[in-house]
Amino acid sequence: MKGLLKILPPFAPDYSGICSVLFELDGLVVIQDAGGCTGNFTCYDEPRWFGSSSAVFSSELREMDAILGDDDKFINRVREAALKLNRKFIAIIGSPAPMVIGTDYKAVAGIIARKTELPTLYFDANGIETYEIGISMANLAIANNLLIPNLDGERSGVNILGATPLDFGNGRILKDLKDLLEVNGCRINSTWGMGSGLEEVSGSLSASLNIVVSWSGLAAARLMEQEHGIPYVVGLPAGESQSTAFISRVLGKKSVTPASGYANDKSILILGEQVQANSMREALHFDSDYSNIKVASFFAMDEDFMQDGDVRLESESDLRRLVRDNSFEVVFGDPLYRRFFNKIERLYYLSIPHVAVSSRLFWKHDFSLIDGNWIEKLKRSEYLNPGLLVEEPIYEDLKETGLHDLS
Amino acid sequence: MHNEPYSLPIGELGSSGIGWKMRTMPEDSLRYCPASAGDWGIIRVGLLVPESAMLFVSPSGCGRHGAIAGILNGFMENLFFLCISESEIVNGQHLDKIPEAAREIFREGGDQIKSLLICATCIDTLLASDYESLAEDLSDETGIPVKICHMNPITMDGKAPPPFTVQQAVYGFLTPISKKSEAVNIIGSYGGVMKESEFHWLMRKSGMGEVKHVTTCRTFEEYLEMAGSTLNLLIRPGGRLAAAEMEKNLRIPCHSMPHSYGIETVTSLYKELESVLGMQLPIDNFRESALEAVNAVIRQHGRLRIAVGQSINGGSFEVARALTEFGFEVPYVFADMVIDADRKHVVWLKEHAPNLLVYTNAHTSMVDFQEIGLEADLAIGFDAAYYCSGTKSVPLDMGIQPFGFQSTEYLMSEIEKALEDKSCLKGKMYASGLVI
Repeated sequence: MKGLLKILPPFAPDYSGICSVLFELDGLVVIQDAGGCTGNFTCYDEPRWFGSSSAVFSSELREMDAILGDDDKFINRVREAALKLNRKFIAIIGSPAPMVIGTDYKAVAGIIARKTELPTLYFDANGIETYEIGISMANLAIANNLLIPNLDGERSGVNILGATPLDFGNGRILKDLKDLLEVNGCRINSTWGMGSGLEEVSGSLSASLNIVVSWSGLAAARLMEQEHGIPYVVGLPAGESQSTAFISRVLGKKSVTPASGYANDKSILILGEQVQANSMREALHFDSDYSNIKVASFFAMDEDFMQDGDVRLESESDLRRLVRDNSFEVVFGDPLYRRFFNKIERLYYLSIPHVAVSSRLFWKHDFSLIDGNWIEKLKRSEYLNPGLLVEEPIYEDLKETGLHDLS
Repeated sequence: MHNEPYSLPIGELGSSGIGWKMRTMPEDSLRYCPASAGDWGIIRVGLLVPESAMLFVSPSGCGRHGAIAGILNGFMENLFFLCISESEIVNGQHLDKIPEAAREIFREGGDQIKSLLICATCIDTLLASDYESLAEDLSDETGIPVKICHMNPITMDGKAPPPFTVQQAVYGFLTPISKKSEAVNIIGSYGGVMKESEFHWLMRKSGMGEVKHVTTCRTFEEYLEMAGSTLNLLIRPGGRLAAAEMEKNLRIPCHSMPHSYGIETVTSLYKELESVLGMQLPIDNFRESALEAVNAVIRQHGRLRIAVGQSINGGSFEVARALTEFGFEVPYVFADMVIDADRKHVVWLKEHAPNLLVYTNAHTSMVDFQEIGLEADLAIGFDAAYYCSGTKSVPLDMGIQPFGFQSTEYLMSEIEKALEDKSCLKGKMYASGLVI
C-alpha cells in the first residue's frame, strides 16, 4: 500500500533539508511548528547540533494561535530573538500545521523583514516532502537572494553545491573530494551547506565552476549557469579510474575512459542518493567492468542522469517489487534497507549509511568513496569465488562497532 | 555578541506574574530545542500495551524521530507509519486509507496483534478529523480493539496535552471485569516499580496484594486484568487523566502518591497512604536504610554541587529539594514549566536554597549556553549535564521506576555510579532515544 511504512522509518523531511543548508550561515532559522518538527531536525537529522550555537528555533505554535490566525505572536517572537541574537539574516520555515491553516509566509516574512531590518527568507515546507526537496529549495533561495555580484568579472575556483550531512554524514566523502581538488590545483571557494559560512557562500559568483555533489544542488547550479554563466559538473570521485576521469572533467580536460580489467555481469543495485549512486556506478564500470548496475532511490532523481532500468521508488512496495523482479547479487545501500533482501540467499550487501534514511543510527560511520576499497572488497569477496559466500563486510563492521555507540 | 542566558532566582518564581502551571520563560521567546531535550515520546508510551501495534498517521516528517527511537529502543516491530500527501489531507482522503492500512497490519501480524492504537497528529487536531468513529468501525469489523491517541504538541498548553492523553489511550483498552483481584495498579510511570523497592513488600504485608503496571503484564489478556485491581496509585502526573477515567469507567479509586526522592517527602506520602488504607505501614527500617545510603555518599564525596534538569524520571524541583535536604548544594535547576505538583517544593527551596537559579532548556538565549560556563560536580538529567559542560551525569531513566524509600537509595547508587562513569554524555544521550 502506497504510503504505508512497515520496515523503514519516515525519511528526513523537507524542513530538515532547509535547516541543514542554512546551519552554518549564521542566520536566525525558525520553524513555524509546535516543537516536534524542530526536534526532528535538531536531534535526529543534524549531526552538527550537539554543542553547536547555530540559531535554529521552534516558533512553538499552539492550537489557539493557529485557529485564530494569530501571526503577531510568531512575528514578535522572531523580532525579540533577532534583537537579542545579532544574526545576519532570518529564515522562516513551514511545517504541516501551518500548511493546514494556509499561513501566508511571504506576507509574514515581509513584516519580519520590515521590523528587524534583516533579509528574511521564507520556505513553504510542509513535512510531507523529503529532505532533498528542502535542500534544493534552500540552495535556490541562496542563489536568488544571498549572492554578491562579482563586480570585477574575474572568475576562478569552484563551489561545491548540494552538500549537507543528510547525504554526507560525517563529511569523509566531501573531505576526499576537497583533497583531490586541491591536489590538482583547484581552489575551493565555497561548499554550500557544509563547511562554508555566509561570507564564503555569498561570494560564490567569483567561481568559474560549480561542482554538484547531489541532486539537491542541481537546480541552483542550473540557475547560476543560466543567470551568471557559471558552468557545472555533476558527480563525485569514486575509486581510482573514475576519480581520474572526474578531475579531468572538473579541469576541463578530455576524459579518457579506462580499460577494464575483466568483464562481469553480476546484477548490482545501488540504492541511494542519485549523484552519489551514479558516481559509484561509473566507478564500478571503470575499475571492474561491472555492467549490469541499476540505481534506485526513494528520493528525487533527475531524468538527465537516469539510465535504462533506474527506478524512482515511491513506497516500500516499489522496493519489494524491484527486489522480486530482479535477481540482485550485489547491493549497496543504507543498512536499514537490508531487510528487504533477507530472502536472497547469496547476496553481497555493502552498507553505506545515509543520514536521511537512518538518522543518527550510523551517522558517525566513516565511508570513503574515493579510495576504492569498497570496490576492492567486492572484487576480493569470497562471493565471487563459486561455492563460498561472504556477506556485507561493512554491515558486519557496523554491528561490531555497535548500533548503540552513537557518539 | 552573545547574551547572558535567561534565568530566574528561585525566589522570583511565582512572584513575577508567573503562575503554577506556566512556563518559566517569557511568552515572547522562541523555543530552543537542545540536543539533550526530550521525553519518551507519544509513540513509545502508546506502545506500552503488550501485544499492541500502532499505526501512526501523519505527514512523513512527524513520525521520523519516533521511528528512529523505535529502532534504538526495540519498539519498531509493531510500529507502522501511514505517510499522507498534501492532497489527501486537503480532501480528507487520508482517513479513507486508514482502514486499508489497518487491515494490512492485522493480516500480516496475525494473532500476535491483540489491539491497535491509531495515532493522529497536529494536522488532524486542526482539521477536527473524526478518528473515534473510524476506530469504532474498525473494531466492529475486525474484532480487534482499536483506540485513538494523539501526538499533537500544538495542544501542549491546553487542559489535555498529549503526554496525558496518550496515557488515557494506553489504559483505554481496559473494560469493566467481574473478576476482582487484590492488586494495586501503578499509573503514570513508564516502568513498573523496581523489584528492589520496599513498596512490594509493604503492599503484600498490608493485604493490598500485587503491585501491577502495564509493563509487567506479559500479554494483552494479563493487561486486561488490571481492570480488576482495587486501587490505582498515581505516581507521575502524566497519568492523571487516565486515572480519572479509570475511576469513572472501572470504578477503581485513585490515590496520588508522587514518585519522590526526598526522605521527608516519602515519609509524609506514606503517612497519607496509611490514611487511605486505614492501617499503619512498617516503614521505619526502610527510612533508616535510605538515610544511611545518603550519609554514606556524603561521607565519601562531601557536599557535592549538583545541577538538576527536567529530562528525568521525577520532578526537577522535588529532586532539587531532596538533594538540598540531604546536604548537597543545588546551584541550578533547568525547568521549562512549574506545575502544581512542584509548588510545595518551590516554596521550600525559596526558603532553604535562595541562591538557586532556575534556567530553562528552551529560552532563546540558551543557544549561547557554551558562553555560560555553568559548573557543577554532577548533573541529574542529560539536559543539566549538557548545559554544565563536562559534568558527570545521572540520567534517571524514565523507564526505570524506583519507588518509596528505595528511590533515595537508587538515586544515591546512581550518583556513585555516575562519579565513576567514564563514558561520554553524547553517546549515552543519543542512545537513550529521547524525543521532543
